[in-house]
Amino acid sequence: MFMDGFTCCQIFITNSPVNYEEIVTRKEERNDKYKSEAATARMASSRKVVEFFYDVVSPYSWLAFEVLCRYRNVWNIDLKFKPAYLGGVMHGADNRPPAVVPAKFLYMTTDLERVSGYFGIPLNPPSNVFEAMFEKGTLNAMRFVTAVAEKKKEGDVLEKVSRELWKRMWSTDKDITEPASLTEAGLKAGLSANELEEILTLSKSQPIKDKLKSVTQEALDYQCFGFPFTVCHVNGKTELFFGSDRFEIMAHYIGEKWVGPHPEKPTSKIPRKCLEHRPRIQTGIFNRSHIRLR
Amino acid sequence: MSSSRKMFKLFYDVTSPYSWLAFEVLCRYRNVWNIDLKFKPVYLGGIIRGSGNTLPGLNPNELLYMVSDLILLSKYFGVPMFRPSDLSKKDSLNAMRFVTAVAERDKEGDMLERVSIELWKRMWRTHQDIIQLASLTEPIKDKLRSVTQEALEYKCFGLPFIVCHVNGKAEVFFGSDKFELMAYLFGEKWMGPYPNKPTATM
Repeated sequence: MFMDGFTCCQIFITNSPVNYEEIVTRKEERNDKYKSEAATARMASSRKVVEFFYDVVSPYSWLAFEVLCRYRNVWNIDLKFKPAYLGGVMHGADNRPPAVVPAKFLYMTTDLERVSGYFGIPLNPPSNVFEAMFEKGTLNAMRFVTAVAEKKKEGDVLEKVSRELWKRMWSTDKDITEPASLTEAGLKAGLSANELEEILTLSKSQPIKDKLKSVTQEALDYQCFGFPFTVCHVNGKTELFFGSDRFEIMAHYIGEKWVGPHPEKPTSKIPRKCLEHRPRIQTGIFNRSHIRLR
Repeated sequence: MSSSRKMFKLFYDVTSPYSWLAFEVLCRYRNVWNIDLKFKPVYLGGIIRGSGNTLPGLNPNELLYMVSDLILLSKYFGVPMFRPSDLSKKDSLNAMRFVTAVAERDKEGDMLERVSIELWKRMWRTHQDIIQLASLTEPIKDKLRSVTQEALEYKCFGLPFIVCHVNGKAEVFFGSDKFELMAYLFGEKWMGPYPNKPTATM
């Protein structure tokens, strides 16, 4: 399985030496840019602004997404979803996907099973992870999500469509590249057949391709190198959080309280799982379909 | 109901600032979670090479992120580090051989902990040079190699790497941000960076 994956997947290697002075200068420029952006955000709203950059190819992004959805009315935040293209971020940041290191891939498989239980999200990796993530990819899917974001600026359709795509790829092992697949996801999210036809056409248009590119570039302008990537603007300052293990610190930074992945049931009240009750992992593919998404 | 005894192995290198955070937290939780904590000094360079990984911080965007991440974390965890921008410049082979020698000499006491903390402070707080030792014996070099190999056998690819033996099973964790998950898996309580301080508990 590893060999097939490695012959298929793209490896981004940087040969350029790291220039530390340049990094410090870029950081200073970035901070100046953030100050003015944060000032604008502050003038526009007294709430804390949280920008969430994600791609449905990323399972950890699904975890972070669900947590932010659960906390959006618990924390005093203005949550902005930023669908972007992880492949573009990898390329722009000269980074490579973590899965190319066999030990990392193995670790992530184990870790995803554990966090799936903790976060209450039914994660099941696709049967051919490398094919799904690298050969097929998510460019069409993220263009589709971008089109939904443009067409449906109000309401929770963007949230529902994103979730349906994650469920297809990371729970039920279904395709998300074909128009029929995207249509099925859209219908489940509550879009009508007519709306879907319009959105599918829109998703292939130049303005939508450009929009996805520009949101991806926004992430890169924050020096993003992977997803999920959460940008918090609070009191004129900006802080960045990579991954789905930073909520406790994020909460502290934005002056809120983290009570675990289920704010409606704070951690101290959830019966704690003990190791001996966990199902055995078989060759890294695990079945969590018995977990219902809230 | 008292906590069951758990054995945790912390694989670390003093060139890894996140290892320092994990080290401090585990020391604070040692008695709270009833942990038999075993310190396993290894050589990060050996881990990276052995797993086919690349050093963190070689990617400019990742490096920039780690610098601001460490500034936030060092404040939150109360482990002050200054100028974490010097990441990825330091090779630690000599330092870790020295730490290994201390571990071999002082198996029962806390000299290993104290030396490790001193070296972390020198590297990440005061920015003094790490002690250069004149000669280190072959057995010490072999010992460092073998502990590094032990980590690689757990499929380690970076540091800190924590192996938890609980209820007859081994669970592995990479990084210093998995303590909340550990608490959930082992039936313990995560109370934030200061378990003995009366703060709002989770």
